[in-house]
Amino acid sequence: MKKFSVLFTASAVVIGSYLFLKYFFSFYLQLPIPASLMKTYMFLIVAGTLLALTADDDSARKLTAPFHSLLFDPSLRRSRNAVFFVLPFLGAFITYQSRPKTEAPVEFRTVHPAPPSSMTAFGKTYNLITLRNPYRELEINDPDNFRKAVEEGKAVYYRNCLFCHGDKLRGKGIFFDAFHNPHPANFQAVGTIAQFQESYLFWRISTGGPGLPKEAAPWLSPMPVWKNHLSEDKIWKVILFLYDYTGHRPREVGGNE
Amino acid sequence: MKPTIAFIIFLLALPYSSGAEPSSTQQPQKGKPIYEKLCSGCHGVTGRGDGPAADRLRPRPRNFARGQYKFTYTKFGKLPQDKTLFRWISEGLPGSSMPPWKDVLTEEERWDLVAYIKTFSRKFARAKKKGRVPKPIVIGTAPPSSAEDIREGKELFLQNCAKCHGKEGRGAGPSAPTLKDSQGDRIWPRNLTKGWLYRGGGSPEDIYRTVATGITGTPMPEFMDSLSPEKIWRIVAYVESIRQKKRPPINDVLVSKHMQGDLPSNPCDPAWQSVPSSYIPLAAQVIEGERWFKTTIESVEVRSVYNGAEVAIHVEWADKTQSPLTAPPDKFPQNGLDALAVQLPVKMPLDAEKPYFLGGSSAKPVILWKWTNGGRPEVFLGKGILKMEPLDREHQTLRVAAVYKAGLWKTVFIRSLERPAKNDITIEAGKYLPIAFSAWDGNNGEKDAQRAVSIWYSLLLKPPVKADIYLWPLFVGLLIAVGEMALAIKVKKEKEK
Amino acid sequence: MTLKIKKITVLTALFIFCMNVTATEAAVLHGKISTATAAKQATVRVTKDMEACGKNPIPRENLVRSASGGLKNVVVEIIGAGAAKPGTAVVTQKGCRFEPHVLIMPAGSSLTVKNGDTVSHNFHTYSFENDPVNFIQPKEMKEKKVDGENFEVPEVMEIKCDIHEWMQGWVYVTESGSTALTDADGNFRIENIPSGKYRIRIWHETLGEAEKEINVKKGDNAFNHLFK
Repeated sequence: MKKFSVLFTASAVVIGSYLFLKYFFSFYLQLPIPASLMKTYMFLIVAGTLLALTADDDSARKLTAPFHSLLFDPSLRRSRNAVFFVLPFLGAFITYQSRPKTEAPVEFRTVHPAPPSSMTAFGKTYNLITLRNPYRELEINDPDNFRKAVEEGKAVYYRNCLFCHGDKLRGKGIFFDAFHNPHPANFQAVGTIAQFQESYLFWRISTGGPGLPKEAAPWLSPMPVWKNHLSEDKIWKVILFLYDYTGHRPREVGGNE
Repeated sequence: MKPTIAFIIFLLALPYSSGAEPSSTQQPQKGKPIYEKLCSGCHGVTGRGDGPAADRLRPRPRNFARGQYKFTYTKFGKLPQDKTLFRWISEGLPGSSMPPWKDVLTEEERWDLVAYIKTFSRKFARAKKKGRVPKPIVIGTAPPSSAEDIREGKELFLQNCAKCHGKEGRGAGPSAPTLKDSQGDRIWPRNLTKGWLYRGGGSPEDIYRTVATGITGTPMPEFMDSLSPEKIWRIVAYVESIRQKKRPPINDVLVSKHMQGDLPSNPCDPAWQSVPSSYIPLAAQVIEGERWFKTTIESVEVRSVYNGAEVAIHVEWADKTQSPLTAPPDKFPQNGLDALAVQLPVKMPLDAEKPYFLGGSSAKPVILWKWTNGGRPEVFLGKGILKMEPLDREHQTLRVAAVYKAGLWKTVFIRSLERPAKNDITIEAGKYLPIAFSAWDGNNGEKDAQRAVSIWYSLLLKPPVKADIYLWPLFVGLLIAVGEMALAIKVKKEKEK
Repeated sequence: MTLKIKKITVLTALFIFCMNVTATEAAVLHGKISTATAAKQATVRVTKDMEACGKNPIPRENLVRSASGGLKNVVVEIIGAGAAKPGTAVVTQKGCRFEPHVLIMPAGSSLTVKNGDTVSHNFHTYSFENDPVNFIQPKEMKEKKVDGENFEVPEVMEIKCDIHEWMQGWVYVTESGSTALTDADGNFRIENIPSGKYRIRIWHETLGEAEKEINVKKGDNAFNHLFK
């Protein structure tokens, strides 16, 4: 097998990584990487590639060899002239493209902020560290009544949550477009309810958007303050439904890791 | 390596494959658990369209006991073919609450669901007993259409469709406020200009089908016995010519263009045509107070220009009625006022923190410019969605003009950049100003908290273009050229050595 | 086997006994349906196509009471008294109303829909058990026949022209051969009823329906009903 030139390898690594990060994440995983993060990744990849390939003088020379021959090799005169002609225009074009544009100011927002240690709702104070779903124990002790509670939770979901979080619990309800910043949470994704204790959901549902801490931009979230609309009982049941439908398990109090 | 690629291609192709014919082993009993998990929340366990979500959805979910399906390839009211039910389960009904299920269910599961859904109505069994099979209409493919066809199509449209869909196709015809469907609910003629919301699909063949067979359970009648296929295709060609196929992109920044001289204060001023618009989808206010699920105003389109002294915001939206109606129909007597509010913070935000998007709060209030049909524009200090305090009218510099025509409201809000009073906002160019919108359709019974709302967007009064956006690229280009020359000289010298 | 035949015979005898039908002795039932409820409006509000629809006032027909309290357009049906033969019924859209306002139709009959106006209408049946129909009827389409397949199951269905929202009528699809519609003074008359015990159904579009036991004897029988 013919050995590829070092420059070719370097370009292949950089371009390959770029394509992977861009297309695999946005199209296959449906999780596009933000542009700013992409820049950081690409900077690290380019720097890493250069470091690896210039570790000794020999390979460093090989890396720069094509440039050297472009400048000095008489047989490459035409290519040289072409490159010299194109480069200023390319530079000007990139400069023009990177002029300040009208993009929304970047809003840093913690999607899943740390919960407070306690909260008040329904005239009570809850210790969120020890709070448990009162229906959870039925799952083992009384499966019939557990199913009943899940079914009641389902009715609560379809009457209240469906419009934003959608039929498939993926956050794609009919108001997905209108409420796109932030998007409604996708309960099927591994990064949402699967990561939390039920008490976290109880806090998020009861106090809604306005109940978020400042770092989570409470002024943006259309999540209603559900303690104004639903009973404590219904909130616990809808939490049961979310886990039951998605097949996720809530994190246990105290954790198992 | 090769099998992996094949597998990936297979995975990518999965969502696009669709079975046209049922598998031979359709099993209703296998469809039952799928139905009960995925469909019963809206359509109800017994299939009567009475699931827990039903009364909050518009249109209401189908009652399968009726055996009447809106979009079929059979004559109006006739039972559909299995593959038609399969298609709607797979692809969903765009713009309604029915999502596509092909990403969740296998083909076999969807066919089983079709079989199960049919068990809810006696009609399928009766038809089977009598040996009746659904007879689909012949559609063919859309013929190429000339400008002449489109013109003739428009004539036919005006004769046959405009009573409900309106002369401009926005669903604002004289019969629009009086229609109900077979379940007794109010129903609106489609706004044909918003092509991405066609429930029965948006291909020319889909439009043909809907015109030919009507929409079962709704006032949309079948035309196949009174119009020839050629005429229906001409109507399709006309409808195609007025519809925007794709939903406009959503941009979080609304750019206000700088201009010299007076701002166009007439909403119909042709100057507005050249200003790019931003599409802002609205949601029903399902969050606070008296929650509301059935809005009719789907979006607003916003344009803006400014000069040294004032800013003008042009807001346009489709509304099928100009409310209050002079004579509301007996069946639907709701007759509130159409209205629109533009919401801004009280101060330009210094950091990312904004007032609560839904009407502000006492700690961080908002300014609301509210226009109401037939009334004077008002300015409020909003401390919550229902806590609005009118601001001193004497000092207000807000002017609003509004025009309703053919299913479209066009309004222009003009205000001084300088704040008119101490507790109001001074609008500065070059900064991102949070802006949000609320819209009320009076004839839909909307008032107060019951309205359509948007989230926060940013309005940017873009400073006039300066020469430096061209100077910098020129400078960089020259710099590179100079560098190249230096390099060339150096190379030449080295070669000479 | 014999036991089964016996069972069937006994059941049939019992059935005939219960129905108490003697086919030879035909009877007549007549009477008056009245109401205490007064109509709210005499005419409908015409909002469009004034040229074709607005020249003469269109009566509001959902509750028409005579001076003596008689209620018009009530369907009186004797349940199970002979089967109705399917035929052809006619309804006309004329003067932007339906004529007749209430149409009694034997199940399985076809329906001829006529347009006697100078505007286009649509004709829409709001049925549940039967397949609904809804077609556009341009002014040029003077009549159109709708197949009996769309009226094969007994039910009461509203008919509408959705374009002219005030246009409302009713089709009463029935299997009974003994039905009548009350006249302007609330009177009805049903002839050729085999005497016997029946259930009688009285239906009105606004005041609802009632069912009663009735014993129809040979000769003249009277039946009156008051809708509250």
